[in-house]
Amino acid sequence: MTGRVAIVGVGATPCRTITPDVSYKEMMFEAAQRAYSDCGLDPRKDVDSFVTCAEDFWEGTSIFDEYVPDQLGAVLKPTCTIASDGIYGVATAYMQIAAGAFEVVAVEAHSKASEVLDKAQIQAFALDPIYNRPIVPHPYLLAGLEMRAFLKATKNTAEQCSAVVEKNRGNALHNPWAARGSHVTRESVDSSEPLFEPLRQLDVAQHADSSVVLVLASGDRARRISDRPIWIRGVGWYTDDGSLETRDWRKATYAAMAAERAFEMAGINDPAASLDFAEIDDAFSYKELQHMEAAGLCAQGESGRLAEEGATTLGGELPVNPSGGSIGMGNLLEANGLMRIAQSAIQLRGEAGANQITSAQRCFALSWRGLPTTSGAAVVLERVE
Amino acid sequence: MDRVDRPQDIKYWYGGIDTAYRYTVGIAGERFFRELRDTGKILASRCHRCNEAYVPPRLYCVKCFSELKDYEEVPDDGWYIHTYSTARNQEGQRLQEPLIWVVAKHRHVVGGLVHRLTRASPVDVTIGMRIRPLPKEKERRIGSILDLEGFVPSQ
Ligand SMILES: [Zn+2]
Repeated sequence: MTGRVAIVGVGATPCRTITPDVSYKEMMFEAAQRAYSDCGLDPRKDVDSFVTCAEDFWEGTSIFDEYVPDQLGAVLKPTCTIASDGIYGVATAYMQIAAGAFEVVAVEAHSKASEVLDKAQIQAFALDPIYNRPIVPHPYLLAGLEMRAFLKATKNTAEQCSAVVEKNRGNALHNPWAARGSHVTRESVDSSEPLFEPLRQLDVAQHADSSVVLVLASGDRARRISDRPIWIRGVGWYTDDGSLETRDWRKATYAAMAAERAFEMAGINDPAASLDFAEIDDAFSYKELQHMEAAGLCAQGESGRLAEEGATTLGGELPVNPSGGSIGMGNLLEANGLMRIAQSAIQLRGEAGANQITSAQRCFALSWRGLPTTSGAAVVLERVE
Repeated sequence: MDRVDRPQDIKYWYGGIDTAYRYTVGIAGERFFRELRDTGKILASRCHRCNEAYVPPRLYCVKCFSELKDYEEVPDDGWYIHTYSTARNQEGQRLQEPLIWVVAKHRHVVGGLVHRLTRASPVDVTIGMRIRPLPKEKERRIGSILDLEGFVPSQ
């Protein structure tokens, strides 16, 4: 079975805690070189359209879309920038191709988090200025509030969240792309510095720098370009009524709906049984559990037990974040979702090295746009023999 | 690509943004903050079609997209803790009394308020606990969310 749109090229710079040797443009150029070389395309001749994902405040430059074409080979070609997570960029490229507007589209997202000297202030500035900013001292308060609500409603525990950290930091140890691989035990997470309780220091995915570029192509072109295309079977994206007052802090409704739509498009009724692994947002440890339950990868209230018992490890029934996720690879700001897809594609191609899951064929990737948002996007990816 | 390989050769340029904004509270916000300042009461806007009330009040209904014109007082009774969090440190300093924040919701409205919980110890706080808003004394109210001291336990 073939499809309408496939990923034919994958490129990224390895995640690093600092990248003082290159500018953001040079980092994007390197990722783009890798992606175009991966699929043997020349961007000046072969790529019809470019989509980049960036938020001005993270970039330190207003109207950032003016700063993307040259380093991607996109000057005077159709280019647009989306102020959102990378999976929204993939969804946009998918639509451009499915609509027949273009045959080959490149998608880029990146993080130069090490050069954002006031990261917390940017998230704090995303809060409602009138009702919330005078009250909320730090954006991590929102993670503390959400973690408490989720754990209480589902009877999962903070100790089970620690198992997520142990797994993801451990998976990252064997992933050469990852910046935050480490032997972190559950106990050391439990005893790490309390932030806004119950959130602890090691529950937080620490930032990293990286640029990710994917090249997507229409069905016919994809088969000509690549002998190992990764097909996009479903996409979905939703934003809740995100006000801090109105949202239901117990659950990730945006993720549930994005996943439901992506699974429906892909014709998947039973996600847990149909998927070989999942790469889902884990910007905080509890978010991995919350997103598993939202996406229906397990029953409500079951995610913590599965993490604790090792069902989501590399050798488990349904490996979650075999790449190490954001906790293990580094939080990449708007590039988190694109890195989840890039890692999924590598895994489906059988190129994941020590982290390879045997004969992985179908997977699910989910992004969250981070604090303080209730926005997320999902895709279902498949390799065809 | 050839990379810089001597750390002392790495150059940076520092820059930032120095800008200020003025945020209009809007038609519904004006009603909310005047009421809070003048009477110490919390105001909701009501959609009669959906039979829902919104706090903070909005000019429109989230469910049916109607324009909302009616406002009503939210009774002090009916508030409860949807979720909460505590901090024992602030800017690296250990606090004598931990700070508590709550997402306060109300039985009869959609929404609620995010604020501090005072006159309570973290060990006594639970999700679902009944609380009530505590306005500052009238002379100190200026028409801001800080016109509330926060929430306090009902009993
Ligand atoms: Zn209505």
